[in-house]
Amino acid sequence: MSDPLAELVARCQEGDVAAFRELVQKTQDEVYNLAYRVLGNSQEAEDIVQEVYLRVWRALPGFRGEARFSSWLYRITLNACLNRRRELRTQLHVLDAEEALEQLAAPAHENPVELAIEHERKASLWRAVSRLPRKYRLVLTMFYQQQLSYKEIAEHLALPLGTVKAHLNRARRALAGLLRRKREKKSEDKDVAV
Amino acid sequence: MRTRMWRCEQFKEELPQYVADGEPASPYYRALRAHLASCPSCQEELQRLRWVEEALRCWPKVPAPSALLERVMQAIVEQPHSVRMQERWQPLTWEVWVPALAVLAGLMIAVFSLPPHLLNAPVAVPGEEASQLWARDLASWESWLEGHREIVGTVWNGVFAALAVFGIGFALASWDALGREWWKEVERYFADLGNQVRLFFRRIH
Repeated sequence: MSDPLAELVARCQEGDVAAFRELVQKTQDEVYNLAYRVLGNSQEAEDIVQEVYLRVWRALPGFRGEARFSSWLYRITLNACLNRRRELRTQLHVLDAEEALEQLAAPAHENPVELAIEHERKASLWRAVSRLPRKYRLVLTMFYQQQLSYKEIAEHLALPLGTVKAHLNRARRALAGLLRRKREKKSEDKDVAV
Repeated sequence: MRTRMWRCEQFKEELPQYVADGEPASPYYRALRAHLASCPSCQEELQRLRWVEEALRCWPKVPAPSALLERVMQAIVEQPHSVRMQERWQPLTWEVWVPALAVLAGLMIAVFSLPPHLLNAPVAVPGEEASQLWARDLASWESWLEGHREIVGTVWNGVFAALAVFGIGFALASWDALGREWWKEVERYFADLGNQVRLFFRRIH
């Protein structure tokens, strides 16, 4: 399969700064989102994005196009995030998850009240993802947000395919378990109120 | 009762993948579908997993801040030009120049191990034709070689042995990276096979 960014990358390799700007514009959302999901902090994610693109700028002349540019960029981003996370260890706070979610606007719907309730339920699930163990959060991000296949995730994380699927399934079950406990708690609160 | 609960738990482990695969009608999930038809607890879990799957599929990405692009480009523009030029003009990789040096060293050893008089151009005797000059030179080489057969043999064997060692080393270095990738694939294959076998035995029990 041909790389849609191949032509742009070729221009960047010639030192075309304007082409590099276009490349950053096309890919920065993916890079930022991955960094944010791994590190859970917007400031750290911004620093990582800058570091990643500096590395890419320096290493582009040596990029031979054997893999797709997006895969190469993804690998650099992941390595940078995991290294940074190791440095920061427990200092990272997941401060911004709720902030970012509050910025989401609910689309128009016939029954806005029901929609708002449903949206809030989903938002609480998305917040719950940020509390899952890192390995589950990472595979969820790569599968659902970066739209990578199981095979691609296995290659990026150097894990067996079965392990990737197992992580995803355990993450899904963990989230379903949270949902079950929340509903049980709600029905208990209703019983108490009555 | 305990066996039934255990079987329920086994089926619940398969539910997330079943939902993620789109609840296919394939024979692989026949036992699961049969169990779902009669187990309210698993049906509830299925409903929850369906909802989780739907929520995850519309999980929004966090967009990059609007000022990030300018910040990145500022950092790029501030990069020293010499760094980028140095990286563009990469020297030859060691896999190329090491064997080349080895070949050159081997040839130089071979040439300089020859006696000096054989390196000098033959001097023509007055009246001697060019073909006679070359024949005389060749005869001189032949007589020298005859007298130093062992030394010459050792030197030339040494040269070619050195070339062979460097050639093998170069080939191994090139294959090293490929070999590591291949080994990873093998490990993944056997890990997947192990998981499939475990799942199979779980299902038949």
